Amino acid sequence: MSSTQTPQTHVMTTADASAVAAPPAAGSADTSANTSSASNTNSISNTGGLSNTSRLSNPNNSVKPEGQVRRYDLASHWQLMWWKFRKHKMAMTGLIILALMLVSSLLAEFLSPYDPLKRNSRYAEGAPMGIHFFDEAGDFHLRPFVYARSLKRDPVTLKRSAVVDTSKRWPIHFFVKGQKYTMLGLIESDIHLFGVVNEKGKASKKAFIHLLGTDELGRDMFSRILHSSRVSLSVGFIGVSVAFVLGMLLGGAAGYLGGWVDEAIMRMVEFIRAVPTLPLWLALAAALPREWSALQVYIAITFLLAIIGWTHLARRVRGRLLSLREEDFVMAARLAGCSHSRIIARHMLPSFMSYLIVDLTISFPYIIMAETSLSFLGLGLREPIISWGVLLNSAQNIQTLAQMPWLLLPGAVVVIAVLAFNFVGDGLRDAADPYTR
Amino acid sequence: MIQMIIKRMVSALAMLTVLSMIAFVLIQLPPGDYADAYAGKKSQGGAVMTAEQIEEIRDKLGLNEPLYIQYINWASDFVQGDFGYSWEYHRPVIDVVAERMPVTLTLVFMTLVFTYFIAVPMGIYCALRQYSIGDHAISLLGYIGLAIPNFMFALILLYLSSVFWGTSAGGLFSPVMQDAPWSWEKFKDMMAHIWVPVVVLGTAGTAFQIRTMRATLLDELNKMYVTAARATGMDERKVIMKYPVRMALNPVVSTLGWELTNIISGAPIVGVVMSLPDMGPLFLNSLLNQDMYLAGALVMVYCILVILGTLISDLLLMLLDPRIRMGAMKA
Amino acid sequence: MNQNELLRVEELHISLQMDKGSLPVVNGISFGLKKGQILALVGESGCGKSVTSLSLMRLLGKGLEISGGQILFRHPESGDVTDIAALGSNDKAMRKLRGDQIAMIFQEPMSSFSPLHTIGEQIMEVVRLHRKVSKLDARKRAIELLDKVGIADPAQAVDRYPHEFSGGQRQRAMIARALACDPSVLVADEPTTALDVTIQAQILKLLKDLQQEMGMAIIFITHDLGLVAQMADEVAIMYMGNVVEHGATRAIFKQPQHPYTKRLLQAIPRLGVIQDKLQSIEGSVPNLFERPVGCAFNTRCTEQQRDACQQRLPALRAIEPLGLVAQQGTAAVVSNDVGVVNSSDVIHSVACHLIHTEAVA
Repeated sequence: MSSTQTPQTHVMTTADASAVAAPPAAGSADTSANTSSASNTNSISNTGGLSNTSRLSNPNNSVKPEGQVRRYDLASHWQLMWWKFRKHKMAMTGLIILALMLVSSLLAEFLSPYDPLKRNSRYAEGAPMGIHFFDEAGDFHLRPFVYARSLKRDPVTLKRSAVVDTSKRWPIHFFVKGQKYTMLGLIESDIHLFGVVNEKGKASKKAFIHLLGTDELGRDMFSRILHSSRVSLSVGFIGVSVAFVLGMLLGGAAGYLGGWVDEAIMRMVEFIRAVPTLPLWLALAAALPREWSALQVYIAITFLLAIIGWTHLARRVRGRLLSLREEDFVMAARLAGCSHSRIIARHMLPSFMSYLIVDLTISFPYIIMAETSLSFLGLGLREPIISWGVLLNSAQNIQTLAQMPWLLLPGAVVVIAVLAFNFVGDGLRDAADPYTR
Repeated sequence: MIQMIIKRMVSALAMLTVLSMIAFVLIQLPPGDYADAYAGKKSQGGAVMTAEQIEEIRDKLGLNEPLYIQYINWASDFVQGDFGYSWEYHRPVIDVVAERMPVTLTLVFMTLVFTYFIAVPMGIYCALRQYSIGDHAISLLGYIGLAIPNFMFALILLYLSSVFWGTSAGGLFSPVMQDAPWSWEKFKDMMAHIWVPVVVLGTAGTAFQIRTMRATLLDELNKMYVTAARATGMDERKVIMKYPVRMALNPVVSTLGWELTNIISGAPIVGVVMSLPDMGPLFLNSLLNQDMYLAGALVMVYCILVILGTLISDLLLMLLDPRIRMGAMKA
Repeated sequence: MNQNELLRVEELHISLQMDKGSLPVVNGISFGLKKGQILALVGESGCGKSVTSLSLMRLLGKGLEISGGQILFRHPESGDVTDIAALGSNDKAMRKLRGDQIAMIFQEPMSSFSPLHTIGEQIMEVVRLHRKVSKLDARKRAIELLDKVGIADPAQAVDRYPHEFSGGQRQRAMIARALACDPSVLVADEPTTALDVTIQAQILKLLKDLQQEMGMAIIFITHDLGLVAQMADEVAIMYMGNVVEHGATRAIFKQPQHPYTKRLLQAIPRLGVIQDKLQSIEGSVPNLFERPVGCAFNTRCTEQQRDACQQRLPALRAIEPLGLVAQQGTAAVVSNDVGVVNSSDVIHSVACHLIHTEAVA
């Protein structure tokens, strides 16, 4: 087919090249590309910046003067990947969502109005509170507000519950003083991004804001979700890092040393891959000593989960190393007297690092989902360390769910995070593959 | 070929052996042993056992033997169908498992059928109509399907069914049939309910298989042999169905074992959330209550299912691909 | 269309459809093919020769379309003329021609067979598609064909899978498949490029022998002028979607006119001629986006160029000795009565401003 497709692929590459070269028109480096004056020291030509039509009409452009290079001829592999990645809209959206999630989870104490463990006895099992600009009378208020909630006793069940009191407004203020916190173990403060004051405009314990409602103990779901994101994402990051180290070491050993080491490691990989992971994980997690602290359990679970991720990576590393061993540039390095570790680290690894990063991105959601599932079943992390799964644990039975559907909200966050990771993973995979456009 | 089958079986056996060791260790992990548990149960009933009595039981059951002897005893019992005794259910483990196993098997099998019956045609459609609206819609659904954890999906369905229809989508039988003995009617009742957990369990796998089918078929469509087949004057439809689709099925079939592993992996949690009468809730309870003989046995059963399934799918693949059948390519 | 021509390509345009518009890949080429004749289409990769060959069978890949011109095929028995370019690629009429009247062999024997079916099945399939024969007869035919293309032990080979064949054997099997229904035209798209040199020679000899035995016409596509000398009666040299020179093989080799042809010929290493280094043509084929204005070859031409070279695409016209100024595209053959080709009949034509000095109205 290659001969029959030659004209086609030929066109694709050029189309690709010009498309790759075109985006930098908005980038930072394009100043040098567009002002191709004679004084310009680097020999980047202006072909990249010109549109196709002008290139078609100018025959001289097809002859590349000696020494002239296009931008994409000089770009490093990572630059090319980034250019391609930027064209992937879904992946960019995913990346932005992930960045927002990460930042907001790091700033959780500041962004959340309450401590995630603080109970509001006046608003247990409370529904999400809507933000309003217009009051009942239809009047507009520049400062957004929530309606007040007051406690009423149900005449039949005699249960106290909060009802909306539209006669009173609790306006939202920004940068309000609240509970003291220490953010990331460094910054001490008591300023929260937002909070409410009571109807008289004074800070009051009786006025509260629960954007996403509260759980059965009256803890603020919004604050809890922000804080749990930190834990869940950290489980993912640590899990992926451990998987990365394991995969590199074991896969590297298998691929470079070969022989019985290879045989043994590959058997192990095959074994782990052929085992029903979740039941085994559940069993292992259940076997953790009960008296362990929440932190110890957190560390143990994270490491347990990392065992999912490394096999895939190890296979990839091994496969690439095996094929690279035969490559000429590795032979050249060997002839030049490079040591084994130098050959691996300086010559072989960089040539497939991008693939490893793609693999890592893809294994992220698996780890997050596994943690969520374990914690959801009550076999993973435990309070007071809260993750998405721990939050969802309280949404287990259908009765509570029917009454408090907002308890499922952490699940939505899980889905969004996993989606974002998958998008980014897809974008990276396409960008890393030199044969896609 | 026979040599290859034997080789596969030997490796499956080796895997089972290793897994049985892990299961055994799991059983041993929680503090206290069978004798302690027995004594605990007795003392709950009011009869206090002396340390000597407990020791006597240990001797009788061989719990004072070195671990590897205990393992061999346990394993040989296991092979003979004696899985130990469940304190939770006051019955031999094998009975408890046997009662729940058929439902799990049905669920897994149905999910597998569902996955491939949906995924293969959809994958073909997406590849042939690349970048069409249908293709985009399916791939969007696929993304979401892959991103929703099974239990989340189950919870959402449960919630929706209770809000909109006022009934629970959980369970496998209508209340009437709940305790009825097995009959054709009961089977029909189960089939009417089982699709909910099947969809929950199968969605992620289906999404993945659609992607695989689409990607491999797109790859195959560009291959020379397709043009060569067209050059014979064959009808386009026939060309596609006979050659590239057939080729693209191979990677899909080769993931059968892996897909099965995933489904079996996901089954317990869906069983728990949807309170199905299968092995799932049994498994979770046994873990939470440290009913370790039951838990160990269930881990073993799950693993045996997976290993058997993988073995079958490998054999199937050998039948499908002459290159593997003849050992020209390493599987 | 000439009486003794089987196939006539007239002003064929093929273009690549893209989001931003269409890009011409083949720019109005014309040639004729007579019964039992071997015509070679020669050019570097990307010159449109493979696309042209695929278009003859309406097998163009995604995005490629015939945007103008005719491909006339005369049925050798009934004498009916069909315009292939006007048919749909999956039309019944087209499918009836494909594999039966016009067959094709491809560049890569490795991937031209489905790995999941035996060689025999894939040959029998073609036979049964076009001939009403029983399975057993089709199988006999397949064995006979395999024997004909020189595969040892054809009765056994018929049940083998492609992966059990070597590259050369696979190409032989491919030829057998193409010849299954005695086609009148065989399109051979670089049939030997993927093969070792020794096997290359065997396959070429086989093709030539079969051609003489069965009498079909062959369109032979290659980038290797060296092969053309052994194989073809007539040669068309292509550059960037145009035929730049067309004539009898002997004429082209003896008196190449177009600068491109000259350079191509110089690039063939010769036995017994001591060369300091291998000759090559400077520069590379411009990509299709950057098609030069004027003569497409002007970016690489080493001759003293005229203004016209930068302005107008030269037309393909007969050269002086014959005194005939043929219009572009009709530079083929004034026939003699029989369908046997006499190479001296072929008009030698060339598209170059340096040769046809006077401007055409």
